[in-house]
Amino acid sequence: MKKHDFLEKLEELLDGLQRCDIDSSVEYWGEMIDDKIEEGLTEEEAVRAIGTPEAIADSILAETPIAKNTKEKAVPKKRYGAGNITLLILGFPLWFPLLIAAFAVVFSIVVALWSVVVSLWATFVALAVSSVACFIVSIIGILTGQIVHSLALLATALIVGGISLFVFIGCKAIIRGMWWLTKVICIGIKRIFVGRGKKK
Amino acid sequence: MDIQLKRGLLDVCVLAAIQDNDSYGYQIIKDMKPYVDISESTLYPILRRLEVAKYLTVYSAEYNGRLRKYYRITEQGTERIDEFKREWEEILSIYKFITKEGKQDEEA
Repeated sequence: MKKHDFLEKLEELLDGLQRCDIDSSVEYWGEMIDDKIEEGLTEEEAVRAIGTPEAIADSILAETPIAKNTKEKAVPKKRYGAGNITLLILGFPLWFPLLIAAFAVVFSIVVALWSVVVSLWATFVALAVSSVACFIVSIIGILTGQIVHSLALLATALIVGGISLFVFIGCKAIIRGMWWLTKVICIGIKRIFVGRGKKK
Repeated sequence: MDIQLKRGLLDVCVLAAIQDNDSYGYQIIKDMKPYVDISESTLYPILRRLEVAKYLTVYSAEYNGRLRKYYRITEQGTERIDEFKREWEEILSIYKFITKEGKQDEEA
């Protein structure tokens, strides 16, 4: 290994210590290598005589009191520990398809519900329009003298109109229901993640 | 030898190595070699400790076109050596006592 590579690797391994400590170490060991080279060794031999950067880094870190070693301080408490993450990754082929399936089921249910809502509203619109149309035609009929047919048509218009009002009540109720369901689902999903955080 | 004991001894050894003249890492190791074997990785933390304890100071000087770190003993460092010598004179007299006793037992 070349001197430059050795020192670079050493600096890397000492990451976490204070800057001045890292610089001191790198200077010291660079000097040691230079001194050995002066004694007659080649660069490679000098580096080999010192030892591996890992061994040197270990000895330096071992001597450093915990307070100076910022690495000890800086590691935050991970929400999801290394163990959990490993499990998550390993179990991926297991839980991922299940998750997809779950989403698919939820999605189909949502679609089905909304189809009901849409058809109900469509029914209401159809009835309402028909009712209005019949009403208008009946009025025209009455005005043009076709009393009997027009009266029948008027009756139809009123009946259909009444039915459409009932359907309208149903439409409003189902919309409110959908809104409530959506809220519950969203809160539930949020609680899965927020809840996890709180537990840890 | 007890590791802690050796540690304490080596600290003072290094101070002794720079007592008469300022010296540098590699030279200190060579000077100590006839008496005690010490590696570069052992020396480094010792030098850091002595610097923190203000027993020595560090400065850089040019040598053969590169910078080299030199270590100079402080007054406190010299005092530490004297303290060590006193401690060990005491230990030595106790040792003489123990071995003399031993000898007496042998003769008896």
